[in-house]
Amino acid sequence: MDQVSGDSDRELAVIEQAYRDGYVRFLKVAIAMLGDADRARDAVQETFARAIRSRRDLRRVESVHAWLWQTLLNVCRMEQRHRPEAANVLPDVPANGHAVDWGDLRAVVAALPERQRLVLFLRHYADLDYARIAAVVGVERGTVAATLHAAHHKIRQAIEEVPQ
Amino acid sequence: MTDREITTLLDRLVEGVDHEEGDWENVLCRADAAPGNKPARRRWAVAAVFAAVAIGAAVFAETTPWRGGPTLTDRAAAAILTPTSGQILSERIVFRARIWHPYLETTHAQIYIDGGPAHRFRVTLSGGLRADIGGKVGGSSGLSYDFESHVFDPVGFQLAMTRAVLDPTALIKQALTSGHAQVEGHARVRGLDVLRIRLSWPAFGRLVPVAYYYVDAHDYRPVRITVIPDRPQGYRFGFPLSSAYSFLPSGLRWPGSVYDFVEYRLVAPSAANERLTDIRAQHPKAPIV
Repeated sequence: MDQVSGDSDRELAVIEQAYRDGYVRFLKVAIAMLGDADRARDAVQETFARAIRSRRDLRRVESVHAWLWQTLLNVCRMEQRHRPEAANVLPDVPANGHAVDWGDLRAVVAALPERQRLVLFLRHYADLDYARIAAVVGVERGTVAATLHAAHHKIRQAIEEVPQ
Repeated sequence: MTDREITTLLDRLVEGVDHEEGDWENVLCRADAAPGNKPARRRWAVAAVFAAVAIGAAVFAETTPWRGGPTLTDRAAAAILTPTSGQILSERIVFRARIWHPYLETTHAQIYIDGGPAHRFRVTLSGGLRADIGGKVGGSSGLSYDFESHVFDPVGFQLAMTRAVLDPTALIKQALTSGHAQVEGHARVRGLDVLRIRLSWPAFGRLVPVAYYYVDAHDYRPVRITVIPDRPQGYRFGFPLSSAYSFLPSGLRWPGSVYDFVEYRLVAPSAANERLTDIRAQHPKAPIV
């Protein structure tokens, strides 16, 4: 089902299904990357608009979903370059009642190396398995595991250092 | 801390969107509006202008007249130009939206408003949007030039094209005299010493900031308008071009926008300047279809 084939209507149907099934996951990753829900929604819309415009080319890609995730990351990167002031900052979250300092958590995540952040977002927000993350990010599957482990370690270390 | 606990923490950073649904129709519209699909672009551009400031005009129509406000606000209002007979208002504005869209990155708008008996207006857009529209101030119909087929399209506006609809500073003047404007202090915009004026709108029993108006600190001429992104409650504040966002899905909030005034002056009604206000004179060979 991941492979697009057949006529234009079928390609469009595959893209639409991916959109309807995965909208929230795409949105969460975009929010995590852009730090702004409005810009994130816009990035998701743009990602799928690009997919529609490129649907004939999608016949040749190995995985439409991987292509969509890669496009979303590229769209977000481009948006970050256009509007760098809000880049790499996760959105504000009310701190009331939470045991951790959200500002610190946001800062910790934002300070991760880009690959660690991407792998972290794709694993936690997109719920992709290691093989798919590897395809999206363009690394070996084992690298995904190591990168994710390193990201978790840094977050764990930072959170546990926060005075409760 | 386990991986599951980390997941819980991370989820809380993007919470609130789990039940959100995307707008597939909007995706289709965006795809259709791609560069190269010019008919769609043209329709959208024209609609953007003619829907214009219906929203914004309504906002300040509801406010009460200002009585004895701050002197600086008063001066800023007085510096907004109103062309009289024998004058043409010429405004050049660079419009930027916060939203990312290939046609909305930057739009250059030139507005001419003739204060003379002809009462003509003409608005040209270039950059992200391309349009040339003209008509009579206060009228409900006009002409739009089609750059592809080089003809005029007669158009009916959604509302009478008053100055408040055509000219963002006219709308600002209403805001400044509504009693809901407040000078916040000095700032720097494009290297200029400016005054920052907060414009608010009464909503839900309180005043909500909707835009900032920056004026030159020395002569109070307009320098910039920054429209604040919409709030979740859904009320909106519009200026010319802002209704271009009407294609956005209903779930999206108002993205905010910036108007930079590059030129703002009254010019004499010379023959050449009069022609600038006359869309027919700009495209003399174009038929009306």
